[in-house]
Amino acid sequence: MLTACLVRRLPHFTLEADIVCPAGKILVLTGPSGSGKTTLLRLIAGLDTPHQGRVALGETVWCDTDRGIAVPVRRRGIGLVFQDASLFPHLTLARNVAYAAADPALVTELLGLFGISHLADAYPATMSGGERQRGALCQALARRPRALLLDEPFSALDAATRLALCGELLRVRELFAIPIIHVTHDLAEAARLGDTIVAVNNGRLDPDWFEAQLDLHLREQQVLLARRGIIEAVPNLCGAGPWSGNRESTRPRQSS
Amino acid sequence: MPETFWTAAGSAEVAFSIGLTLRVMALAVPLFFVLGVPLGYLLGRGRGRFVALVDVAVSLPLVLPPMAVGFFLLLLLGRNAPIGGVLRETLGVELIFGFPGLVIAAVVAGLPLMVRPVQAAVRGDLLRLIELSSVLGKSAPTTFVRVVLPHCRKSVAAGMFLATGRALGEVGVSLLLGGDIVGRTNTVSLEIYNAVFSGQFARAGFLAALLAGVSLVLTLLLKRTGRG
Repeated sequence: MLTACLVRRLPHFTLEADIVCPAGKILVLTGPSGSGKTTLLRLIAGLDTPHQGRVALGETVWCDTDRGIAVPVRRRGIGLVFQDASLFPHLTLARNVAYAAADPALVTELLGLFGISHLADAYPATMSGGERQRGALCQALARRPRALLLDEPFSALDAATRLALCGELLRVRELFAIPIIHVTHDLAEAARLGDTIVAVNNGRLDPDWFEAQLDLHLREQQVLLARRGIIEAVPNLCGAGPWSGNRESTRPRQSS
Repeated sequence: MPETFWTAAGSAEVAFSIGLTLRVMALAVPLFFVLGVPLGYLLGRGRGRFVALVDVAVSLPLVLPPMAVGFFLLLLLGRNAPIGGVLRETLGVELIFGFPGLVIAAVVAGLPLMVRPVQAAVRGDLLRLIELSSVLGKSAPTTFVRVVLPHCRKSVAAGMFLATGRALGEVGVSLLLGGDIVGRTNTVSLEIYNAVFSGQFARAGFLAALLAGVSLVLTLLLKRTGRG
């Protein structure tokens, strides 16, 4: 189980978060842009230092400001996938994955698992966005990480590729049974992947943000459906807040 | 019998200046790499007043006239100067008016052109790749060799070609630090200067053509790096 209770003062707000992610589960960190999601992930990874707090994986403490513990990122045994620049551009895909794994058999196995064995000798620049992110997942998993951290890895991909990669990530959850923290601002992706969904808003965990955004999203969908004539109308959309209306009144009419 | 273009090529003085220049470059080129890559990395990634100060010091030879650079170095490295004097008294090393002075002149002249491309290359995506390497369990030296250097290889190569070309043509700093002593510190560039002023135009022509040929090759190599 990965636990993190952290405080870091940022230029515009103070990030305060207390999260728990059990092994074999996906914790989705969502929230508006600039709210502190990526910073929280970097603090957990050890790429940034908290002003106060503790990060631990089971009994292993990675960071404890009170006890002066700060395990360097390279000794934490994590896998991390960034939104971009997750593969070394001067190495082929196979060499990228082998950079993290000493075992060549594991490289072959992982490339096969993600269906990109045929790209083993390709350089990242010649691969599509989806292939690159599959490769990045292979690389992150190649060192058999004790936790997997994903910083908006699918945000630059088209909807179909994103959906396919979500399916592959769920498979990773089953196969590796490690805590996975996934940062996204895509509500559907969060709902699809998250065993737990935690929203970070202005540096604080906001339990209402996700539901409010879902309501807003649903109302937007209803406007589109109303325009197409699939539903009759969307009452009270203007003026009132998107989450303050009566949900019943916005349901599609049943055809009789 | 007057010296022709081809007899100039075979003269002992010309052979000496070419040999001397090769010996100077044999030391200066590795020094471009050894000093230029870490300096470029420091200036590209570092912040603060110290880094700004180093940046100004490294860049000065680009904007100051070479004679002025040579004069300032003479004030620092001369026999009774703060650095030169201490080195002479403690280690018995004379930096000026000899081979060490020529190497220093070549390095000072070429280093800014080595540092600039590396400085530009280490900005941007490289930080993310360095972080990725450390996440994957690699130490800082391993990351430098396996990620930073390959990532910057074209910029490093471009810097090496530019710095070598600049150092080969260096006159002002070499004149003041080396002294242009015939048979001792007259590099190819200084020999052209000497030949012109003594009316040996064939010799000057041969050496200038030689430098032009080398510069042409360096320019073509620079183009191949994609950074030229």
